[in-house]
Amino acid sequence: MSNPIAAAIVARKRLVGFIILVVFLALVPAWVKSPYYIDLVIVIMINAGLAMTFIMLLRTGLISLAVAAFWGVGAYASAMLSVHAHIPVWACLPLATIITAIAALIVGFVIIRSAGFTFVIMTTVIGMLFVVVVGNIGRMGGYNGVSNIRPPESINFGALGKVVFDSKVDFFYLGLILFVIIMLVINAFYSSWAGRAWNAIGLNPRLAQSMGVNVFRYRLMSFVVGCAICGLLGSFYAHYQTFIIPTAFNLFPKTIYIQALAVLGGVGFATFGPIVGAAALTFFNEAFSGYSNWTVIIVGALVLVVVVFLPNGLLSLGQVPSRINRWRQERAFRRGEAAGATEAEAAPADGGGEV
Amino acid sequence: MSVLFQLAFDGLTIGLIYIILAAGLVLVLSVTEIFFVAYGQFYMWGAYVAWYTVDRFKMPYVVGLIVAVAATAVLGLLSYALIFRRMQHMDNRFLITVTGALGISLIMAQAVLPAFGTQPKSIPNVFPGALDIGGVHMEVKKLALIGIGILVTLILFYVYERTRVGRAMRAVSLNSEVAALHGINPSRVYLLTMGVGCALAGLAGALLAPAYNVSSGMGNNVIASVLLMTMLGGMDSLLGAVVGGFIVGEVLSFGQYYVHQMNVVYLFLFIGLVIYFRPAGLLGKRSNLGV
Repeated sequence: MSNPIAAAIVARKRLVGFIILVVFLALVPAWVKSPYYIDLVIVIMINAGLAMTFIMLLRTGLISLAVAAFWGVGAYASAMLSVHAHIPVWACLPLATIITAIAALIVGFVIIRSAGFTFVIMTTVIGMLFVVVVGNIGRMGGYNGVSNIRPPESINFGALGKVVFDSKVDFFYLGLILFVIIMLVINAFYSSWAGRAWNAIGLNPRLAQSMGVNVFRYRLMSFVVGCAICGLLGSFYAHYQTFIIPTAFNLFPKTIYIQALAVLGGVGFATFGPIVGAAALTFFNEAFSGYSNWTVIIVGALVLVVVVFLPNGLLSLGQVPSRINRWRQERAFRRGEAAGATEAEAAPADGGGEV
Repeated sequence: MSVLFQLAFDGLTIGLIYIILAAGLVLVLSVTEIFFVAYGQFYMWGAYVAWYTVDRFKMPYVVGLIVAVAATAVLGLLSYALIFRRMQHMDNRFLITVTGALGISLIMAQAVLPAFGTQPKSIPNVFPGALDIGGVHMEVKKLALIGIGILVTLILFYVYERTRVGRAMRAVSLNSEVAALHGINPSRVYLLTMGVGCALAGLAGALLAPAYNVSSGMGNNVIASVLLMTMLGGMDSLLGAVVGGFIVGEVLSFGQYYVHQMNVVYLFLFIGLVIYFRPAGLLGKRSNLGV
């Protein structure tokens, strides 16, 4: 490790990985020209962002199955503000985030006291309630959804040119900027006092409480922050798709998918796990898309294989070398111990003979 | 007045399907502690297998019923033996099993399309005719469904409450380690419960097949409401499953007539309130699932 640059890279592995990821993503439109694949990458980013919020809540010991519902709250808030109130889209994005955060604050205040499985059921109810409530409000489009949501207004950078949101690439860069902001915010939370408190609560809520951590307040905080991020992503999704239907935010396929790709990437990896999981699931889908009816069956089988043989996620593949090393060390240690044990057994016998 | 009875009758018909479904899910949830989101697919498979046996092999409906139950039981046993058995002792068990169940659900939901085709199916009516009693129009096929449903529920109660197997299931659901100390093999009880639970789902599907249409989306449509009615009744109580299924069936039937679409909203709100004030459900005792 004489090279100072290499040493710096090793010391800041996460930061370097993050920069490589962002640069890689930013260069995607340079070599991917097909709008179809750009669309896939945007969907991967949205799903990965949602899964990050899922893991964020999981850190505090809460399993929320209302991720898609709050995603939908953000999407609908933004769509309503844009279509009915004619508010510019650049104001809709933060407003939808704030509205979702307020909704999460109210809901979370009621349901967070019930931890464990009750919380899972409560969020299940909320996740299903959202779809039927929205589906039954005529002013929100009912089950037919909202269409003709405006794309963001064009921005004039003067000499640098003008960004008009008429192609997938423009949306891709907007999505990437939001995604990077989300990743930075989440990681800032993790490395602050709040993140440490969340970790403590996740490890053992009672112990954390006895150490002076206000469990309810910190859980509520993680719920609000996570749902606000969901809302931001939902708002982006609404303006990107230009139409939304309530069943897209349903519990059964969507939230379970989010949960599954968090598990596929590895719930222990809060930032890169969801990205890997979302990319892997999309990749599976695309790689086998030629087999018509069999595509989903193959994807399901691959999900099962990953989850049975790599329960800690795809990223735990990176720990395999170190695990083999540890196994070797343990084996060597055990052998040494066995040899030591025979000596130790022999020694008292001698000693006994002396007495 | 006859409208009320008619609605109650229709609610009872769909309610019995829900009761059988919820009873199977109660067994799976309370004994194996798996949040089994693939459960609805077994229901769909039961309906499809029954249709296939009756339609293709020209078998009587009763044979179709038996084949459907056997097929879904085997599928349930396989899914436990091949997949969930390996997950029973992992960290993050809840998330891992939900993901595994999602994989199973994807495979089963899609596999019906190449196997049975994409068109909605219906079994030719095996119980023709209808009775009119006091202005209530009761089709014989729905009466048959109610009869078989009540019979199955009674048998299930007998097995669960009075036999050694049922006692073993209850013991494992209370505490698998202590049950193992008393000579019960929890692993075998888990396997058996998964088989019985999935067979019940298949039975519900096969019972539904002559009275309603069979389509590939029915599994996805039903799973969320079955989970909710299980939670409403209490996830460790068979009687709770009966109460939950009955309430949901009747509320949907009456609500469809009086408040149209909004009935689902009120139903979910009601269930949410019940769970908020009684996390264990109406008749249940426990509210945790090893999360």
